[in-house]
Amino acid sequence: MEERNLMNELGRRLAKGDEDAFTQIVERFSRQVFAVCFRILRDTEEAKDMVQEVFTRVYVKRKSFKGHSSVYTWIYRIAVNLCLSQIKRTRVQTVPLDDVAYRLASRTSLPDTKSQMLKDVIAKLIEALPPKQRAVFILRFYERLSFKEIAEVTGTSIGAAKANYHFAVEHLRRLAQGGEDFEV
Amino acid sequence: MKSNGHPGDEKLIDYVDGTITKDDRKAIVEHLESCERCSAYVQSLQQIFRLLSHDSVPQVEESFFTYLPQRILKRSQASASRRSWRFAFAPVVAVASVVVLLLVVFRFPAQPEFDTIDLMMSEMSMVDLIDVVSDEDGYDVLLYEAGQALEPADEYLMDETPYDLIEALSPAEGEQLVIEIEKEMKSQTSGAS
Repeated sequence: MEERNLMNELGRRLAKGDEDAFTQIVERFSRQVFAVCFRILRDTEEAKDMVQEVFTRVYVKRKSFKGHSSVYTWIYRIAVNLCLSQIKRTRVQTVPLDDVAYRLASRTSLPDTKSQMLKDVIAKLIEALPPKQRAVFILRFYERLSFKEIAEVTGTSIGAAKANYHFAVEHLRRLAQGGEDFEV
Repeated sequence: MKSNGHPGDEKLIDYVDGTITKDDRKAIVEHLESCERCSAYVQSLQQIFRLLSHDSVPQVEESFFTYLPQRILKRSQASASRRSWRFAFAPVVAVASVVVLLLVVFRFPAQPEFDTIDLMMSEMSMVDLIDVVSDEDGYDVLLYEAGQALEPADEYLMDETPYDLIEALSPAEGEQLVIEIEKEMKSQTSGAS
């Protein structure tokens, strides 16, 4: 909570054009933004470029930050919107879920957490989610944002954020159990 | 609980997610003890949550994050300075462009093409014409026209047509011929006066 209060204080200074506040925000928050971008895009280099783009936007638009929401939900919002645009622009793919289901079903216990296979399975499961559900799931499951915060980030109502999360979880559960091809 | 006695999938997801009230939690725990369907559903949710909790983010070199603020500030400031430069100089550039355009239009009117050489010959002296025609193609045209113009008075051109003669000349010889023609014209002019 202290961290968030500090971030909000930095947000207020940022809105006044304080460059030192900008530097501190990037230092404190860029790794988290990278994690979100990576989990949505599933590509390290794209995620690095995206982090740079996100904070460039933050800097350019700093004076338009009004402080109605907290600075980190504002930054998450920029990151999620840019990542979703990137997916829309560059990718239309079909994930062969039979493969995912087969790999999961063929094991009696969870695979070795460090193995490449585990990474592939997780990547395929997450990539199989429609982009908006993917973003909501990542913000809730990995970033532990509240549904109120997710609603602020995605520009929807709390109810819609919850519904998207429930859909995503159910989607993932089904994908892991049996297969059909989904267009992303 | 729903009317069918089951809590509903959303509630079970919230239960696994840990976002549920104490009372709801107690009711679900009791329900799961006696309901195979909901118990299996919760187990499948727990399995997928466990699996996804192993998702790791790749390591990125620390220098990427360390120098990120400087890189962004530098990039943004450079782009802002380019923008402000453009804004500051835009009126100056616009005025300068108009002035240059006006100068070009009024100070240097378009030169006539060489296919109008006959018209030029009728209005200009040979000296003026030589000034205007400075490239090699121009000399060819000029020599032809000059030969035509001087034919009756020129002994050099008695045996061949002027066109044949000029065709046979090299550019240097052509240039020499122009000088000769010029001299001839001057002497004719001074003799006449």
